[in-house]
Amino acid sequence: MIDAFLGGLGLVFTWPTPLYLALGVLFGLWLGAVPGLGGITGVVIILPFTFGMDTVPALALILGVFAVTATSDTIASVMLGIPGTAASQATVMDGYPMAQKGQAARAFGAAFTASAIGGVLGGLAMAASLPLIRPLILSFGTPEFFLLGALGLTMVATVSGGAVSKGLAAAAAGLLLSQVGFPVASEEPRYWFEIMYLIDGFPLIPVVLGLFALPEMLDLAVRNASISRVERDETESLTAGIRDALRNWWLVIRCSWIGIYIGMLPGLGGMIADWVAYGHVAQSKRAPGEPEYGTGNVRGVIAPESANNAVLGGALIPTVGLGIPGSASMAILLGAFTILGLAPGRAMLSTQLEITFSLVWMLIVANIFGAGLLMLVSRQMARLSFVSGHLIVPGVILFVFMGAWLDTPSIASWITVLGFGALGYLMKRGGWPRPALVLGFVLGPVMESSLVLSWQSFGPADLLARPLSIALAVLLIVALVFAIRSTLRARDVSSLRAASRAMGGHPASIFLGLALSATFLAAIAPALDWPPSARRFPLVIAPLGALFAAIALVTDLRARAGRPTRANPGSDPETVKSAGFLLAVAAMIAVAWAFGQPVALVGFVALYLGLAARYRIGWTLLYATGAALALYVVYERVLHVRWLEPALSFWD
Amino acid sequence: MPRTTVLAGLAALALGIAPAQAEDRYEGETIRIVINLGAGGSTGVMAQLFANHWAEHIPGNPDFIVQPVTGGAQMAGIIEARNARPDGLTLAWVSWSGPTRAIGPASQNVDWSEFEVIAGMGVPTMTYMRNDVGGATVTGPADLPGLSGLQLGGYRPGSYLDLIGRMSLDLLGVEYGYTTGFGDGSSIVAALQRDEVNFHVTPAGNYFGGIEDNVVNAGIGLPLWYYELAGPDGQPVGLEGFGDLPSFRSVVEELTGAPPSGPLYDAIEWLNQGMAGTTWLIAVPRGVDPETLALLRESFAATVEDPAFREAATATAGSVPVFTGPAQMETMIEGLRAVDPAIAETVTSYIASGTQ
Repeated sequence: MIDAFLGGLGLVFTWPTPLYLALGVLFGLWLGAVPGLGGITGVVIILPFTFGMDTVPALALILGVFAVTATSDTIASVMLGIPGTAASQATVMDGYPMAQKGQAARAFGAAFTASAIGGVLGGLAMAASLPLIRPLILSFGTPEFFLLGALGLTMVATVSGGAVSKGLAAAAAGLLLSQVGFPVASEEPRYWFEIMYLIDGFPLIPVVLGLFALPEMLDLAVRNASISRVERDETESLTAGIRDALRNWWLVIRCSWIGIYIGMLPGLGGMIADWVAYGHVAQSKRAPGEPEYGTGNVRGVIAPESANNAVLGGALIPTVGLGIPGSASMAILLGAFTILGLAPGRAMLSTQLEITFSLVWMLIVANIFGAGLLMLVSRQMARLSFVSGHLIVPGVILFVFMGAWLDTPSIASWITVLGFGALGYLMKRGGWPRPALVLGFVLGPVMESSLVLSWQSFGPADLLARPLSIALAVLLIVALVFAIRSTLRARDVSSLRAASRAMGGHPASIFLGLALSATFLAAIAPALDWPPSARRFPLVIAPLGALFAAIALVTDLRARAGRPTRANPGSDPETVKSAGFLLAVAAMIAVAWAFGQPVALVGFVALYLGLAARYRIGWTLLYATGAALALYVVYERVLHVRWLEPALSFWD
Repeated sequence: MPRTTVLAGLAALALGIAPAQAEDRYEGETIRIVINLGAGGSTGVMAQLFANHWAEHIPGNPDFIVQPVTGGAQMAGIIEARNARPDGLTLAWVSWSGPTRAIGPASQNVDWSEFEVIAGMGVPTMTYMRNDVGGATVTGPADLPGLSGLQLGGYRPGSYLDLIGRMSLDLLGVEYGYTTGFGDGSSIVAALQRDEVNFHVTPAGNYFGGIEDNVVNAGIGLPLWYYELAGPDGQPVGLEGFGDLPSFRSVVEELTGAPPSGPLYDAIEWLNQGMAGTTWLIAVPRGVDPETLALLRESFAATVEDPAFREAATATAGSVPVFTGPAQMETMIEGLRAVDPAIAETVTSYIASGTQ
């Protein structure tokens, strides 16, 4: 075993493998940094190049891409409040507030250090667990997946700030949204309104980009200010962040372990791991003077970043050891293994063991190299948080909409981004926690499928004979009690709660309370006609959601009644500007439909800078030319994007 | 591919250098193969593998890109390819599910006449199970009758693999439970390894591509039978790799003393030939010029016979996919317009009863 371990190291440092690993890392860093892209996109592009290559260099190229996307996805999460990939959603919670406080460099230092350590620990865990692989993975069955999902839902209170009833209603809305499309064990799609785009449900990337990106860009555009709301403070440096991560070494190890374990379980992956890690840290005791979670606590960045980089090491364990890919990205990797002549499973644990260990070393080297590279440029990246928001908005809009398009190439994806953007804006204004909605949306399919499968395969007596089920059920009860207790304790002292109260009674919040109550109630009737496995979940979610939304609505109405009447009840300028921004985005989508995406995106960039931000014509043209070049080089030439066929054409 | 070519390719990608144009129809061109499933599954792997060899049989040696267009119950990729310009540069390599689409809801019906068929490719179907069920040791199909605790793990009620498995066990008179909704084969394999289910019907490519090694060679399972596919002349095809494994027909004969017949077997045969025999439809949108179409058809057929491809396919999927020529595919498509009502009734009633 030791010989194979060292042999694997030798393979990684045999020329030209280091070159390909470096190329993969560079490509992976770029993919992670652009919102909406990610490792899967990269590997789909790279895969054809690996055919005919020697096995180890090909693996180095592929794994280099996968290993570091979860490191560089921090950039968008911290700087823009937009998850760079699905695995960095929780990083937004404290990363973006840190950037707003002028602490982006410190957040980067902490995140990259935690990512590197998490990635290295993931690799080592993979090496250590290979002999124990079968019992380790097979002990976790379908009922345990359901309980783990339920455990994840207890984090709603944690990510809800002070607005628990709104958080619960938002989580129920996320769960209900996850019910759109084909159910697990039935052939009739649900809530799809005969729209083909919805037959498989809402795709995650456009939903998340809409919920987070559009409201933040709207905020920057309307405020006409930089991301950071304070002056530059050089003491909040990269090295301070590195020290934060090292000082919290025990947290890094715990969260890396969470990432490894969740990565190992098929069907979960990075997007669950980073929420679980965030929930773990947010439920832990804060030191005196430490900021609240959700307001820029560096530990809220360290936890998810340790976990999401460790996921890959964990995910490789069943893929390599049992030939079971736990996620879409692992399925692609499994396909690549097969084409490269490897036999995941017993052969990779015996005759191909040296190659298996080379994967471990690749993970370790790639994570350290990737984090190091990012640290070199993080000071410059952090400076972007002090740049005028007007310079950031059009570029980010371009990448956000192209990211959504790349994920699901349909004009409906753009409409989804806009729709969820409007919803995210209302939630932000009304003090409704957006992460709670995403949490429900992500956990819904995991919980429903494991519930339906367990229902068919297990009886109550079987469940009582499963020690891990019992342990998780106990943990679930403890987590629930803890969540309720900490919510009640925080009731009167939390600044988040105070902020939430200040937003209580906001028209946006009242509108959401009304709209969600009505939606939940309307969702009940069609579900009554569905087969039991298809209706069980929605019929639990919808009434509960209606109840939570109604409580939030009543609370808002009471808050509004107790508030003095405004002297000037006319519409406020911020609302008008925000509506104007959303209309401009809607117009961009209409232009894309009519004349194609390049015209729409470049036109949006030029008009935004020229008319809204009032930049000089030279600067506007320069920026618009850059946008056009990015579309051509990145999306046309590198990503081979297939563009929307314009409904109208200048040359027909 | 030589190392320098890869590096040059990556550099070209990074710099956005356009390929050179030339006189040959396909020289300097990039053919886009649209698949309607994810890149890592058997569809993506086989399309990619085939494309690597196909290029050598087309004058001008075009580049190929395999592009997954997923969603819409596998309709998104089909629609994408159908709506592409008929310039011979966009092809469909789609998991077609022709038979079940023909009798399914209107939203999932496809008018295949909007395509020009290049070929059909199929992978035989087979079954395997755990060798310890309900406290008994299973050594072969003969142990199935009387076994208690048999639990079939399925993809979804309308999947042909679920349907064939349930119909086969019913035909053999074997009692079983049914857990469906796993969605993909690897989840079923994992559940089988955890002993949550113990019987699985799978494409043979997946079996030889990993299940055999991780279940059977690991000592927890055994293969049971495969489903015979008939070639254009009615003779069995696609038997590579099965060795002494019995066909389902022979298992029925052995266990019941008579060759299989009746509406249930007719439905199994119809599903097997139409779904496993043609797992993938390879086609171009209607309107491609006849010369290009002929070139693609001929080069495809030549690639199927290419020893290098056959070797790579066998190494990857355990066997070479069964090839169906365009004429036979056109006949099959025509047959989907008038499905035997008895078969349609059997299949739809199984889907309905499997929906829990």
